Amino acid sequence: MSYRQLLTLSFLLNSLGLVLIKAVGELGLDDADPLIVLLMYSVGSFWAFLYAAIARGPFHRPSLLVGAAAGLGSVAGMVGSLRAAALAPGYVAFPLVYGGSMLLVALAGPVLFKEKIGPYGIAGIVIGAAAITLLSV
Amino acid sequence: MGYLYAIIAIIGFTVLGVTYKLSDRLDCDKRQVNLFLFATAAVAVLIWRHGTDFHTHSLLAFVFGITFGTSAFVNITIFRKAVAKGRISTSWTIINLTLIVPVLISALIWREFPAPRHYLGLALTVVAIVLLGIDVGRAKE
Repeated sequence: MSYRQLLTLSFLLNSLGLVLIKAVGELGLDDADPLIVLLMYSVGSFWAFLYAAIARGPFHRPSLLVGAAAGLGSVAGMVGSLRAAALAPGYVAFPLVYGGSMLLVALAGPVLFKEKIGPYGIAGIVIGAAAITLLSV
Repeated sequence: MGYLYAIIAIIGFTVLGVTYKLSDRLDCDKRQVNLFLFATAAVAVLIWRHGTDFHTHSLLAFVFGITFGTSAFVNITIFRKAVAKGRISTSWTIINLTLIVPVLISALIWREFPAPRHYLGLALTVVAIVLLGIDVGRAKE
């Protein structure tokens, strides 16, 4: 699959996740949030274990460290945004979290990984951050 | 205190985003990275919610949890493959723009019509996606 196809598929799946999150609230399942989050990571672990077991690759230490950092980042992001939204005004917390992390990762591309972004890309990232700020307020 | 949590969230999501490209640069086994990502996160949630009663009578909660987990696994696997072929800076921006979808779905299904600022956000999202699409096309040339 090409980069565009993979990204489009990922875009659609991410959208599905966000719609499901919205549905959880609409269906009055907020009380079951902890169980849903735990199930999400546990079921993900199950599929990831099967996927890794099929390959039977040798244990790779950097993969453990990177994976653990990503897992902690995922939970810290989720817990932090939930708590921030509860303690700070939503019109501040959501744009700050989503716009901020988006810009930092966009910045990490050229700074850490020497990615070259063209003028269209830079304009797209800046306008995208502005769009997320407006949508999340 | 809310701002401290916001900073924690920004750092967390940034670390998550950066690790996609880092796993590629360190030539990691992507299957193992995904396994350790989900397993670490599951343990972290158990520690965070220590003492929480996870018991529920809602079958729907189980259905949602299993659906979330399955779609998250497929999504992370696909996105990791995409980042290996492209740039994290533009890929991450495009994925974050999925915020447009719940706004549209909320209007269509739950009749929550967007405020004027949301319409501007929706228009800017389309512009950003078009610009990033042009940038991706130019990078391949």
